Order: sequence, then C-alpha cells, then structure tokens
Amino acid sequence: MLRSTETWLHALWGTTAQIAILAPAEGADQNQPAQRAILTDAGSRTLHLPLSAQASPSLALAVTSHAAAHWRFGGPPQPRAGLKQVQMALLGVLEDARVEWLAVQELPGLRAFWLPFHAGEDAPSGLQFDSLLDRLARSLLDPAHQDPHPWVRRARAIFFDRDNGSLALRTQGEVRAAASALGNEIGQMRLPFNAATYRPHAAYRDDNAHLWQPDETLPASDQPLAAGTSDNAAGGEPSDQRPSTATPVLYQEWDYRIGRYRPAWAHVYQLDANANLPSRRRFEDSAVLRRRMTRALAGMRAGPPRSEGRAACGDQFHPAALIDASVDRRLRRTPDDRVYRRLLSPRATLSVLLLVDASASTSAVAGSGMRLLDRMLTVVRACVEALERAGHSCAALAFCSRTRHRVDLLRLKDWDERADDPAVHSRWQGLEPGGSTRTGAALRHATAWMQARGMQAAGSRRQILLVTDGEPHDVDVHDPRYLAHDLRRAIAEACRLGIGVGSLTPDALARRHTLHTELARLLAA
Amino acid sequence: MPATADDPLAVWRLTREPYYRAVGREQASFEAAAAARLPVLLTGPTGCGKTRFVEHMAWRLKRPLVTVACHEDLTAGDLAGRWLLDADGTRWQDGPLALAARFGAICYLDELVEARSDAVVVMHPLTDSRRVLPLDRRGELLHAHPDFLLVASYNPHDRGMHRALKPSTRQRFTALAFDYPQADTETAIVARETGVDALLAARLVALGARTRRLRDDGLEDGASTRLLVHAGQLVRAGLSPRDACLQAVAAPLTDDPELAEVLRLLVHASFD
Repeated sequence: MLRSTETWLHALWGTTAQIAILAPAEGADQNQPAQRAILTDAGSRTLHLPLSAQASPSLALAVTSHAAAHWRFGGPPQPRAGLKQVQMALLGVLEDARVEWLAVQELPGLRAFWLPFHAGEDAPSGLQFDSLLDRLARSLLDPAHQDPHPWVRRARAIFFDRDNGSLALRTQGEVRAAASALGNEIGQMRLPFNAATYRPHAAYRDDNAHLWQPDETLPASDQPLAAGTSDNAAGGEPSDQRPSTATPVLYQEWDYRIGRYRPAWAHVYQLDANANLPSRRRFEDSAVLRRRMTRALAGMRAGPPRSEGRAACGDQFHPAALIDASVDRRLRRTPDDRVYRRLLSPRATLSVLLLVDASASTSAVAGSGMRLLDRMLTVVRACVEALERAGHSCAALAFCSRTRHRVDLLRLKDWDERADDPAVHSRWQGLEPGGSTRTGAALRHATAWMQARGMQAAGSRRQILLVTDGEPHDVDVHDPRYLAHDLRRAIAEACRLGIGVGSLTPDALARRHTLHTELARLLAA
Repeated sequence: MPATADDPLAVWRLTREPYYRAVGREQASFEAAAAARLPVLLTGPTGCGKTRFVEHMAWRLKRPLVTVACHEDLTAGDLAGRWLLDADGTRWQDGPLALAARFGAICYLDELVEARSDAVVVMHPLTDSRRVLPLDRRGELLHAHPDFLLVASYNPHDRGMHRALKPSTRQRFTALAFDYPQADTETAIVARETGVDALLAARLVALGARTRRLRDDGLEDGASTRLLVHAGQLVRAGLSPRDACLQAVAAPLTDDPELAEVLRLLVHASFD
C-alpha cells in the first residue's frame, strides 16, 4: 500500500480525510464480486480502501487520486428519482470521467496512474452493457484511444466539445441528461444489466454510492465498513486475585483524612502486557503526528553553553593556551592555533516514561469512532517513535487497578527495547481496557522505575507523561477526594526526586492540530 | 573592488540592480524605516524573497550590505569582533556588525532566531535611540554611523521548541511580513528568473503550492520560490520538467521516506 495515503490525499487538493481498510467479505469465495472503494462523508470524510489495495501501491495510488478528484470536482449527492439502474451506472461512468478529466487538466501526470487499469491485454472488448461501459470509460480517459463501437463514439461526442479539446458536460444536470439519453439507447438495444454484480473493469473506481442521496427503501449494503474494529467483549471483569507468578511491590498511599501516609498500602504488580491476544487493535495513521513531534523535539536545547577545552576559534582566549603559544613563539616553534575557549551548547536528552491509563472507561468510543484507548495508544506510540528518532530514551507502561490489592503495571516498552521490536508491537496490540484508575500507586511505581535507571539517565532530563481519561477512582474507594489527594502527593514525591510529571488529557488528545506542540511542551516542562 | 582605506566596505557594495518584484508597498515601508533609522524585521517562510528584497533595497539606497547568516554557534564575538593573534601580538578585528555600524552599511542578520541568545543581545543597544555598540573586550563604545541600518529576517514557520524570537528582541524592530507571492505573481517571477514559458512556470508554481500544503503533514517547509526557480533553471539547461523537479524540488525538501514518496508522486502527477 502507499505508505502515506492520507498525506497524498491532502497533497493533491487539500482534502483531509481518514483512511480505513474495508473488512474482508463474510465467507469470501471466488464468486464474490471484487471489493470496491467506498467514500463516506458523514461529518468527516473517510476513504475506505479495498483490501487488495494493501498489496498493490499502484492500486492504492489510483484509488486515492480518483477519490481526491471526486471530492475536489464532484457535486452534492443527487436524488435517484426517475433514473433506471442502467442510467445510474452510466451516470457514474460519465461523472468518473468528468472529475478525472478536470483533475488531469491540473495534473496531467495523473492519467498515467489510471490508464493501466483500463488498457492492457484483458481490456474488455465485448458487446454486453458491462463491457460497453468499460470501453466508454477507457475512451473518455484516453484521448488517443479510438473505440469502433458506434454507441461509445456517440457517448464520447456528447462528452467532449466538437473539437475534442474540452469538456461539454460541465454541470451535474448536463451529466444527468446525457446519462438519461444514452441509457435510453441502451434500452432500445435490449442489453441486459445486473447492477448487483456489475463491477467496472478499472479496479480503482469506487462504488459511486456517494453520488446519490441515501434511499431508505433500498436494502442496506452488506459491506461492513471498518476492519478490525474491536467488539470490546471484556470477557468478564477479571478477579482481584493476584497473579500466580508475580510478587507485588508495596507502596505507601496518602490518606488526606488522617493527614499521613498509609504504609505498604497499594500492591503493585509489574507484568508484561498480554502479547498473546490476537491483534485486534486498529491504529490510526500516526505518521503525521510522529513527524510533527520529531520536528518539535529537534529544536530543543538544554541550558546555556558550557566552556570546554581549547579550540581554534571562539570569543575568548584560553589563558593557558595563550601562554603556551607565547612560549612557543619565543622558542621559535610554531604555536598551536587552538588558543580560544571552546563553548559547547549541550543537547537535551530526555528520559521519558509514558504512563497510559488502561482502565475500563477508556473503552469508550471517541468522536473519531475509535476507542479512547486506541487513540491514546496511537498517540503514545507516535510519541515513542519520535523520541527514539530524536535520540532520547523512553519507556511505556500501562496501568489499571482492581482495589489496592491489585494494581497492575503493564510493561509496553522497556528502556532498552526498540519501538519497532516485534515483541513490543505485540504488546501494543494485546492491551485491552479493564479495571479502575489508581493513578497515585501507578505513578509511584513509574517513579521507582525511573529511579532504578540510575546512572543511565544521568545528565538527562527525566519526565513522566501521564496519559489518562480523567480523575482517579477505584472500586474500594468511596471518597472521590481520597485518590485525587494521593495523586497530588505522588506528583510532589516525583518532583522532589527531580522527575517532572505532565498529564495529557482527552481534550488535548482530540485537538489533532496542536497535539504535537502540547506534547512537546509537556516534555520540555 | 578590494577594501581600501577610503572605503573599507567596498566589497560589500552591490554593483548591479538585483531583480525584485514588489508585491505591495514594502519598498516605501523600508525606505521610511531607513530614513527614521529604525531597525527592520522581515518575517516569512524560507526562500520567499526576503534576502533578495534586502539586496534590492541596499542597491536602491546605495548603501553597502553586510550579510550575516546566523547559526546556533554564532556568538557575540562573531558579530562584534574579537582579538586575534598575529606575529606582533594581538590585533583587534571588527565583526560584521561593528564594521557596518562603524562605516554605515546595512547589516542583515539572516535567520536571526538561529543565533545564540548572547549574540542577539549584543545588538540590542544598536536598535534603540542610543545606536551604540559597546565593544567591551576592546574598551570602546562604538557610535553607529548615520547610514547604519539593522535588518533581520525571521521564519515564523521554522520554529521548534524554544525557537521563537523573544518579545524583548522582537519589539525593537519594525516588521514587514512576507509570504510566498500570489500564484500569478509567483508565475511571473519564475518565468522572469528562469526564462521558461508561462505554462511551465504555472505548473511549477502549482507544484510548489501543493508541497507547501504538506506543512500540515509534517514537512518542514514546502518548496520556496527559490526552489521553483532552480527547477526552471534545470529545465533551461536541458532536463525534462519531471527530472528537474525531482532534483530541485522533491529531493531537497525532506529525508522522510514517506513524505519523499508523496513528493515524487506529486512531481510525476504534475507533468505529462
């Protein structure tokens, strides 16, 4: 598949749309007609690519460019009223050709992306209506192609002005009238047509359903839209039994009602995120965010420049080097030209620990149609990759709790693992929401984890970034202020150790265009 | 023209009029600032014509132009001057800022935000009513020549973390905002600078506009007018528009493999 489909769509005419992959058809067999791309525009635009586009970059490119042309040059959906199936299919072909022709006027190279799907050895040459539509589609795209069929020639004469150089069908109404007239001719030729099995020969053409206003009387499409949307079957709330293999680490907890710590209170288990679950997670395309992050991190500097050693150029003399040089000159030797102080401006290195809330409430579906946890993990993963690229070190933990006796810290990525490690990848995939949010205990464990890094983190700025959906709570705590106070304490404890704590809220997660600056601000704090 | 005792700035004088196409009243604005001896900050994306504009104005005002490309290792000493060692001991050498202030030139600090903070602070006393440059290391208080004018450029798009200009610096300047010209103006500029025909120039400009859109997708900067001129020059030198744009536009813009692919595809889509 094209590596950055979303970016390509944006580059052509500034269209912003999400990209999704269609789910495989139920009980797929050989007789099933091939999948076609689907364009939806309910509030925000989405291009659903057929599965086959994943394996074929040229198909993905052609589909996306064609969709961009629809969105750039197409009109609003129109009513079906009064049009037969033949005329609707024909209108689709004429509209496809119209938007492509307009696109090619601006970007002549696009024709070469589309034409291979029309031409070639297996290009249709039959006399059935399906074949005639394909032949028409080809002759409208390729001005050099001469089709001998009289109906195709007539359709082409209607489509273009007489000099063949410009478009005759400029408006939606003109396209509709032409489709209507040409469809009637097909009717007189008594050619049969089955709209349910009709697929254009050019595999990149979408199903054109977006051309029409929705019609409640028609049976719903049986094409499930998104692949891999998880069904959030929690499989029963896990018990608070402690895992058989692990021993807990005990942390104190602040009880504001008595104004003191409760020692050895929260039982924290450090586990690996379950890597054995089948991969059900749907990540968004996070390349854009990752690039923005990498860029924002690149400009970071740490502190004022330090003076260090001798250099051949600089602002201030190095006194000892000057004396050496004078001595050399008196001795008639060539003096060393490194007589200045060298100033180094140190690069900031960060040690960042990302702490992700994986409580049950993160299974809520956000505005974009994704579960909150999936959105959070997409962002965290982009963040991890950006930090890695910028030369900083980072780790990621997820947490959830089921009373103070069972606080799970799930390792997603350790300090010395690489983000593209398959083991890390399968842990991302396996994480499922569940349990509650005992944030204070999780933060104490994260702080301890950061501290345990010790010398390796020396000279770098240490930062914990909390990614959560809201206030802490747990099933064994009934006073909502209790865990909030404890969290405030835990943050103060981390700060005393020189570890900064930032928090990324769902609001910030939703603001896609400023997210990278927000993240960079939190990391630099 | 070598530097002489009469004119130490001889090498910095412009001998020919640099081509510049005005897009608004920026020339009058610049002349007013020069007459009032107020520093000028030119803001705008890279390669949109800021430097060319300063060259053009220096030529119009018949003043020498001392240009300093700022970078993160640029220090106060690089601007003001420093002691050097030679056979007889130490010798003072004026930096470009001191040179311009002493003899009355336009000092142009290109991409000011790249300079280190100590380098930025050294020009502060030159920008207010004092118009002086303290040369501490030499024990001299240099009073600026009446013709001295400080001009700096700044690209607001190109700032990662901590790279915005501080208000204390910013508010010393009068500012002129630049941007890429409108498509038809930019087409005329590309055609004039390269000699390619208007249709090809328009296609180059449309390609440029598309690459600039990718800033939202993480590209650091879209193709500047300068890159489009480069592409046109390669076409004039015999390359096909496709090859010229791959070389002059797509390849220089990014190292990111995904964005590079999109840029290459854009070039292929833009030409027959």
